[in-house]
Amino acid sequence: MTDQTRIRILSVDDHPLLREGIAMVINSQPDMVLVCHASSGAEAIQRYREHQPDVTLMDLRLPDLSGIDALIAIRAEFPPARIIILTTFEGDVEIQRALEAGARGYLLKNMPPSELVNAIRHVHAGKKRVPPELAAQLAEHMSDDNLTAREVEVLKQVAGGNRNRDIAELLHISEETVKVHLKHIMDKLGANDRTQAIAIAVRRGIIQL
Amino acid sequence: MTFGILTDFNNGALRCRPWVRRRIASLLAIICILLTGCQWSRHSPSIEFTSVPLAEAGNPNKLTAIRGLAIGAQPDQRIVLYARSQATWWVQPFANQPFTKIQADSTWESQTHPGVEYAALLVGPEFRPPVTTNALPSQGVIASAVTEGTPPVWRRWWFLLACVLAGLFGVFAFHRFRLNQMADKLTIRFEERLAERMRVAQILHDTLLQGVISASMQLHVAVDQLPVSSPALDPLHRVLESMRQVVEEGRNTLRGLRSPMDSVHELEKSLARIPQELNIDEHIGFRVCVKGPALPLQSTICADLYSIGREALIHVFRQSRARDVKMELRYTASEFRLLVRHDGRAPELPSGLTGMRERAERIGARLKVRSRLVGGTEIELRVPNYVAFESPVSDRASGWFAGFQRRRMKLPEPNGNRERDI
Repeated sequence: MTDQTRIRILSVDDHPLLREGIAMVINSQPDMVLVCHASSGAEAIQRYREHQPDVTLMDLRLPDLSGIDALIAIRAEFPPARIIILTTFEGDVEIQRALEAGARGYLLKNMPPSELVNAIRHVHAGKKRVPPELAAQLAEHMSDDNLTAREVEVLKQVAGGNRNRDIAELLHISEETVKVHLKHIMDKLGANDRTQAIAIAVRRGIIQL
Repeated sequence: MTFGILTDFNNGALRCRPWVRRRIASLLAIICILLTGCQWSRHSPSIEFTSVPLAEAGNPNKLTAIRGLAIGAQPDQRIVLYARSQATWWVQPFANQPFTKIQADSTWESQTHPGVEYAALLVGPEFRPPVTTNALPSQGVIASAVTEGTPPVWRRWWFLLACVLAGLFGVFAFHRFRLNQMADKLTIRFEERLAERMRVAQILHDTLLQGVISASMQLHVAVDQLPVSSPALDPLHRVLESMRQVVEEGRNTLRGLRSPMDSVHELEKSLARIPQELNIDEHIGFRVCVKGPALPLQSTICADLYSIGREALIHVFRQSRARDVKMELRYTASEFRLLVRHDGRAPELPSGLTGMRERAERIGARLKVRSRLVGGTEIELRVPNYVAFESPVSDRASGWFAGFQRRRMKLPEPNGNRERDI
């Protein structure tokens, strides 16, 4: 198989060890080739421009911007870009955001390598790929009320250790409004207190600490 | 006239039923009594005080107004005032001005030196009042009234009540302030710990977990390249399975570190699972019971409560040689209590519980170990309500009030025997 017919892949991950593992898995496949790799969001956009790979494996947490932001930037420039999110943790909100942003797949790093290469082939063939367990998790929260952008902003401030008064000052709103937002957040997440709300939000990928 | 009417009744001039006659007779009797009373009051003058100075020690240099009413007094009658200092009554306001005139509207007004008691006497024109006396005169006095001086503000009942209320409010406010202060300190401490956990999680994620995942990927590739008949295949598959488990456990640990409150409502269940996790002899009896209305626990301390409970159980199962272990989680309005009771021996080295004790202190709880000659040993952890429960301190009623509420709402007592299955 020539380089032209093989699936050309870009791997974006800030962990060198993991990049090494991914490279070994891909290069072991006769129909795939790793054309380059990137360790940050900005570098990923640059490398994509240079190589325009068939499939991109994108880590969610990158040192400069999130994997989803890098995905959006690449797709803004190259709408047909086929990007698979590859991450350690599953959070229904993150999966949903990634798919809404145009990701063609969402995979966990701890999945067997065979899953990874199959997913790459699927996506390269123009299909979408989300493993059944992640799809089930997505479906579980499908009917949940999503937090509004403002509520996510308030929750981030709470997670940052700010008190209601500080949050009100930071966001230029009244303390009462902060309390109302928090009440809505806790209702929507089914949390009993602020700390539990943060925990649920982190687990579901609504916020990243 | 009255008798005449009655006589008429008796003679049957007015023919009425007996009960009507009795009613009319009663009415007439009441009218007679009222008329007699009015006559009597017209002929019995009286004195009242309307304004009395403060009760003070005698002071010849101070004069204060004193006022009152003289009801039914004759025009030539006058008031003589006295103020008592120690045991002596002094005529007021001055020895050479002992009389106070009664106005046409029955009021009188004068001045007096301070005293602890004041007296007003209604006297005729011929009365000669003594300047000082140990007992108030009665000869020639038509009416008299004696009253204590008005107590100073700080001795009045409403002032004292206000002081008591202010004191209670002060104590309550201080208590609230201290509770809030402690809650704030705990919150800061919890946030610091949360930040530390996040840091540890990040390091674990970035180093260990990613490394093992990468190694696992590479090993997978290597295994796939081995011939099917290779004797190394089986052991390598076992290594891969072990690595898969390590990755899964690592992810779970990280998930716990990143969101330590996942097990908030799983405390009882998690504690109940410990014997299985420790592979404890099945013959050792173990049960967890929950008493009282299960109030939601602060998610921030759930992990600590679990760790303390776990450490206590490890200690009991491994060192006390207990055959029967009971764990009780008791929720009351004032505190959360975790009690481990067993029939084994007491800890030989109290220092063995140091870790638990330190952890308890960090969250503002108290840990006690009690050893009894009969009934085995108890490890008790008590966590005050403002640390244990998620409702704000200000919203939570105090113990007695909660008890009162419980009785009113007919809720079960927290120390009742209501046990919940785990």
